[in-house]
Amino acid sequence: MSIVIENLSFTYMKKTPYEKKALKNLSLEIRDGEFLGIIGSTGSGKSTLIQHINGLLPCQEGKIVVSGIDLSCKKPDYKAVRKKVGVVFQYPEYQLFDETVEKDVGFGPKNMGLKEDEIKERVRESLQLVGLNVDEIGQKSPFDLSGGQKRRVAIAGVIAMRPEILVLDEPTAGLDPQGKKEILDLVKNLQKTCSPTVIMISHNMDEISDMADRIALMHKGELLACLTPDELFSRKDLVDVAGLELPVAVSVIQKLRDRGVDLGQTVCRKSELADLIARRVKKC
Amino acid sequence: MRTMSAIVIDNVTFGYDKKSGDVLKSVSLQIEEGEFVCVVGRNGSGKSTLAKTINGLLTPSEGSIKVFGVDTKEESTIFDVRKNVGMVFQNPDNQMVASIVEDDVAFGPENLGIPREEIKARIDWALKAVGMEEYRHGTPNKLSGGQKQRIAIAGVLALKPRVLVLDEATAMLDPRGRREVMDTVRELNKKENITVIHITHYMEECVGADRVVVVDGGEIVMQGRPEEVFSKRSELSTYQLGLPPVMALADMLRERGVEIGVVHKEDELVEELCRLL
Repeated sequence: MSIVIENLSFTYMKKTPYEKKALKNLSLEIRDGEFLGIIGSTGSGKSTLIQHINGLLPCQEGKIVVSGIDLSCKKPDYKAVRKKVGVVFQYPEYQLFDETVEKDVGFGPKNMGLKEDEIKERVRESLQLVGLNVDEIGQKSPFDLSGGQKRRVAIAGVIAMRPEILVLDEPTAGLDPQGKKEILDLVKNLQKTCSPTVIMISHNMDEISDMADRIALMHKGELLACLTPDELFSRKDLVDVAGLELPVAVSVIQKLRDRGVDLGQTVCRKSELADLIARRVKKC
Repeated sequence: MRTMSAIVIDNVTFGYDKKSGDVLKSVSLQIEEGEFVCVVGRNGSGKSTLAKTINGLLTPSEGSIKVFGVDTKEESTIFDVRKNVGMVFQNPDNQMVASIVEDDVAFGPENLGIPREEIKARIDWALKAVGMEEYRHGTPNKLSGGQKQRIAIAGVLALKPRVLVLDEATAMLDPRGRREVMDTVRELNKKENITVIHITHYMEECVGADRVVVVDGGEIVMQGRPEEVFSKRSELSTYQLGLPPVMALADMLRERGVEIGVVHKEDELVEELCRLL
């Protein structure tokens, strides 16, 4: 089992007038090799949750074990967990800092204590994994790159640590449609080549139901459900409580049902809905 | 008498520096008062640069821009231009100047030296227009992204602009925040006849606009009613743009031999499907 979370609770600014409960009794198991999506409106606790997974926030209450490392014990081995879990934050390009792309991507491996030539190799490989070439851009300043390239370099910096678990907080935010597609393809690819377990936060329901094996739905600090995309979006009760936007396919299915046309199942992917309808039309 | 166009962009060329070349290349565009125009294009196409030229934040190196007849190059009248063109940017957190919502909205009119009573009336009106009147005495940093953007819009409205330019104002919001902002802007366009120029990456936000303008490589490469622009799929894809999700779904159905008429909105697609099923 890759990540086990049991009854996790977290409160910001404890014992002050600003006290805010951000996670409430959350239990969740994330399997090895799984692609988990996390959705929920702003302030639902998504970011607080992922900051627990690599120990950026200490475990206050409950239990969390990541790849066998207990983060709820007295003295958790944070160093070990951060090698296993790579986090790509929102707008990661704002975190680029070094003089050259090569140095920036090499920062993590260097801190892990790798040797000079190992670092070089890691940097080359990592840039290649995100579709960039070290010979072309390695000596450039990261700030001279285009927006899409910067984001790729930032992701390369995270996967240079070869994390088993890759966590991404809205990796497509602010990109144009093509840029979005490229980053999503990249994430799919990284799951195959580098980090088998992926956890991704997204506000785009079409995008997340396309990518994820299961989706965790957060609402006001609670985990409302963790289900496959098709199961989740067929649960009208959950969707209504969380005030979720629906994937286009689901929304069309519901509207058809309201008009008396019941397709008998809920699918999230547009292509699957198109298949479903095409079969029905041919029968008619 | 013929009414004057809201904005006339005439052969505008602009570059930030010599090294990177011209970001806008002989762009001409005329926007009428009350129009709702969406501007789309890939990152780096020049959309935001174009937006910043409209209220004189950037002045063209060649060509001219007139806002209700006033040239943005004239320094003596630049405040007339800025009063008429309100801009809302991407990041809501970067646009708040005060710690109380009503103070934030009042910031613009206070700087214009507008009398106190008038400012109060404008705050009332602006907050009501964006549906945020109950937050008047609250603090902006406790609001959601969508609410903050609506406050930013109210702050701009308090200057009584005739044109609203939204430079990817929905890009950082969650789905609900985006819907709130879009509903607010559509309402302002309809009820107050405010001209809207909306720059976005979300194709679905273009449905229902009066015009879609596609920018690529610093030039206007396509424009027309949304249905015209979206009917040219292959041309759109050369600019790395796709269709709104509903239209993409309709296309998938057509590929599978389902005969769907032209649809742009979800309800239209459902209507078509009900006819078939």
